[in-house]
Amino acid sequence: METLPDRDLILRIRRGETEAFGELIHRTQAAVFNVCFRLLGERREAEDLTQETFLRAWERLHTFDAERPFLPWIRRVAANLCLNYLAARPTANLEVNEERDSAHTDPLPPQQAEARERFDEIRAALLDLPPRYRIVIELRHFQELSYDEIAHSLNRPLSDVKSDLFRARKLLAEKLKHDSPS
Amino acid sequence: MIHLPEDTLNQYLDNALTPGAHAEAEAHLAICPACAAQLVELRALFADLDALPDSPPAIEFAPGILSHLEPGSSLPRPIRWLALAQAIGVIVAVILAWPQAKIFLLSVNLPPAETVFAGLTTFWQQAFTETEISLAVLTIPEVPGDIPMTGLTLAIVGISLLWLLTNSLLLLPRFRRMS
Repeated sequence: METLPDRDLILRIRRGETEAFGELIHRTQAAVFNVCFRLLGERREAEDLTQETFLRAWERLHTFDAERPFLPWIRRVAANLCLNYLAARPTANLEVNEERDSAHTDPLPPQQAEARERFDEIRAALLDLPPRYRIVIELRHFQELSYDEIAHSLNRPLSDVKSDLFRARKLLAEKLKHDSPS
Repeated sequence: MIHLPEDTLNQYLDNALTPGAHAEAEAHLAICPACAAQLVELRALFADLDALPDSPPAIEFAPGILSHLEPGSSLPRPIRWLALAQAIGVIVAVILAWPQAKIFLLSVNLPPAETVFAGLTTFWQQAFTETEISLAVLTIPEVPGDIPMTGLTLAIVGISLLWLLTNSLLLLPRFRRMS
């Protein structure tokens, strides 16, 4: 099962083989979790939304073209679910929650600690963005979608996608400039 | 000098400009330090985002998700208990109904099986050969004797209600997910 391409796994899933879906989850869970974690900033919520993403994928797998790569599709499903979740969630001042990340409890050499601090600043700056801007950064920079693909995925006009992306970057740059130690 | 608009700089880095506009922007950036400095800042932001590492998930998702997909294991505990109660209820109802069912079966005085099958064969042969089936053939046979049926009826109604209730609850999670 581990050696099968995604396409074959999807065909097996359609025949009712749940083990094949387990393998597909195993392959893509890290990427899906990271979409959710970048957008939500909280591990527990990201885990819940990751699970929700795969359940949604299971229900909609019959609409998916098995000849296309699975990972970009499932990452877009995750991003859209997170966006809906953020729209329904009461606004809160989110901080990057790494409490459950065991790797962060270990002491690090100064250079790595500095890099981690910078990554935390970037994550925090991303979480400071309004969800509308956060999602376009996610889709453009982390999922590498084109403007047209983002517009299609979010069902927004192309002009809105462009202006949202430029504003998001501007806000991020300002935020990171303020947070930067130099 | 007219500087490049910010959205042009963004599109320049995103490779979203037309070839002509891209070449124009490139030419301008070569002679305009202010726009070139802005581009450097924007590039630094892109680099920051590109460098952001993935955070490994702390759990394996497949077992939990697959358990949601298997109907039996995804049932809430009260419904699983209700399914057990349904099974016990059926056994109790059969035990309660058995004495009266036994009286009924004995009073019917059923003919031997071969006679019944022979009669049925003849009946269907006649039915197919004749164009019209006599209405008398379709009348419901009366139960011979005066048999108290209350217990049996109550048992059947009870089982049916329990069956309907339990199966509705079993299907409820599926309907919720579909809606």
